[in-house]
Amino acid sequence: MKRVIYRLLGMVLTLVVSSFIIFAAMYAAPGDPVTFLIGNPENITPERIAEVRAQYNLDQPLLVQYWLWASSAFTGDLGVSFQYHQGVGDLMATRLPATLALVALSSVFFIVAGIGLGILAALRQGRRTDSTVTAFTTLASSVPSFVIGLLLVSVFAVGLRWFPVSGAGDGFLDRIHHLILPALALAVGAVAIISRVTRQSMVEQLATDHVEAARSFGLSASKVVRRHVLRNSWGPILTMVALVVASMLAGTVVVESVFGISGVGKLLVDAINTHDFPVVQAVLLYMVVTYMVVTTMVDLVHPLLDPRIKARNKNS
Amino acid sequence: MLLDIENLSLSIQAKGHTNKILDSVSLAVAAGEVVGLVGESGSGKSTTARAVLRLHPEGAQVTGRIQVAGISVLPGTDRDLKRVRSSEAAMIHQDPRAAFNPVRRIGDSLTERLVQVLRADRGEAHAKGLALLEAVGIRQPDRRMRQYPHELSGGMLQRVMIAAALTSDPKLLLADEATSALDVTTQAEVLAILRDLQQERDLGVLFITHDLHLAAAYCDRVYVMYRGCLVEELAGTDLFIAARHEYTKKLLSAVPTITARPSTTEATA
Repeated sequence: MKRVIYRLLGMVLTLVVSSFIIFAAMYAAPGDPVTFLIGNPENITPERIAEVRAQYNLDQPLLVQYWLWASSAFTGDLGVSFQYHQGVGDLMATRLPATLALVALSSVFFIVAGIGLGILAALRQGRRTDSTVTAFTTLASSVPSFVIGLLLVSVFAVGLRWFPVSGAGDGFLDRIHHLILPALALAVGAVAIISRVTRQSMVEQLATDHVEAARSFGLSASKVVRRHVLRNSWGPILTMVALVVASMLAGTVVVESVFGISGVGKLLVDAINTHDFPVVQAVLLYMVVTYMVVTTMVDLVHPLLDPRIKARNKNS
Repeated sequence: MLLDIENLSLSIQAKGHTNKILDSVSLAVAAGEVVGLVGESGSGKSTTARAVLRLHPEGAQVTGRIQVAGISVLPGTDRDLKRVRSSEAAMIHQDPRAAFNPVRRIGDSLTERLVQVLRADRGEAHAKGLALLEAVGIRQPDRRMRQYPHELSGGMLQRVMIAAALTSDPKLLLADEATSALDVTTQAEVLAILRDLQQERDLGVLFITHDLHLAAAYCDRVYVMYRGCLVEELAGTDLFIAARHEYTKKLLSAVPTITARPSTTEATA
């Protein structure tokens, strides 16, 4: 119980600090949003500037501005976009599904491929398959995702015409059809990380006494792997998968641009370019929150995978 | 013979060298017999026991013949090996804390051989596990079955391991330093339980230890191992009086005693 309270307090503190940094960074950013808000340069008069500054609370001190923003954000009101004159919450709501679908599909790809290749490498440890997997995934992860994206588009969309060139699609199947190439481009880099962690974690388990004990009483090789080696490797694998997913949720910008998907990443880039501060702040806040949610979920799942963690938590 | 090892040699190739780990080891264990295997660390005791279940390291070159209850393990088919591993012989490992999967419940580890290898009914396996836990003197066996290895003491875990070894009613036990990791009191308790079960079930035991007093007191026969060779074979009771081989004598003289020898006290005084 005490742990849960500490945990929650920690999350609130993280939110306060990070939201303040986000807000203050906007405040310190070059370029005055007032000029953008007024739009037509001919309208810029001292009276008009003062009017706009008052309207958007830009004449208040930083802390007051932060308090106004943070308190309304807490109630779900993230402000109004300078550019679209639309609620930031609504704007995010229209963009989120595409990004979430992209990350979900990409996660399926990198989890299946990463863990699969990791298992393969661990079981063929020190042999040719092992080094081939390492070499191949390292090479693939060193190519930037936009290059892979362009490559996939030119081969599978333009050349073979199997997939659409851009867009996120409507409806479930059409969306998956549209998102396969971008999801692949996003997943490639993560495969190397996940396969490496899987391999390392399994290699450590393979050398343990309980694995040999399981072998010594006649457990078949596949059951030894499933019930002992892989079962005990889930901790590090899960942690890594969660960290990669969390950073993907905040890192779809490039792939969304390459494939013309109007998701959250695209929204962020556009907002930065047009000094649309409320949107930038909201997107950054969303990134912090998703990261916190994902890592907290991992912490909650860990004791289920390894009962020793529960005991350690109780003692501390 | 229950366990029959003939001319077992084992070597490992490493960087061009051939390391000979075992050199023409021949030993036998009859049903109902406790046979000790003593020697210093690295002499090949564990390797011998592990070779019985073909657990030697990958890439090792093994020659010779090993039979368990008439089934050939070396040379042998995978089917015969599985039969020996699952039903005929069982190993009691040195470190009970490491030999149990830390993330699985005791009950799960205890019945794994029955359920996953011998495809026994879960309920029956559970009942048998409970009975065996009682047989090795564990109280509240029902509760222990639901606990995890880290919640039990080392002595308790070693008793659970003995129970786990007996789930498939094997005829041969390979006890690899089975009590070395325990404190003296617990060691005595576990040894007494092992002795009782051995006599009750007429088990053959290959008892590996570096404790010569223990070997002399506990074993019917003792083999002395030195650098991968068996150098001497003695009755347990004769170990301290009739040893003839130079190495055995050296080994015996290296055993520390509580009564101080006059020469050493003088030297230190």
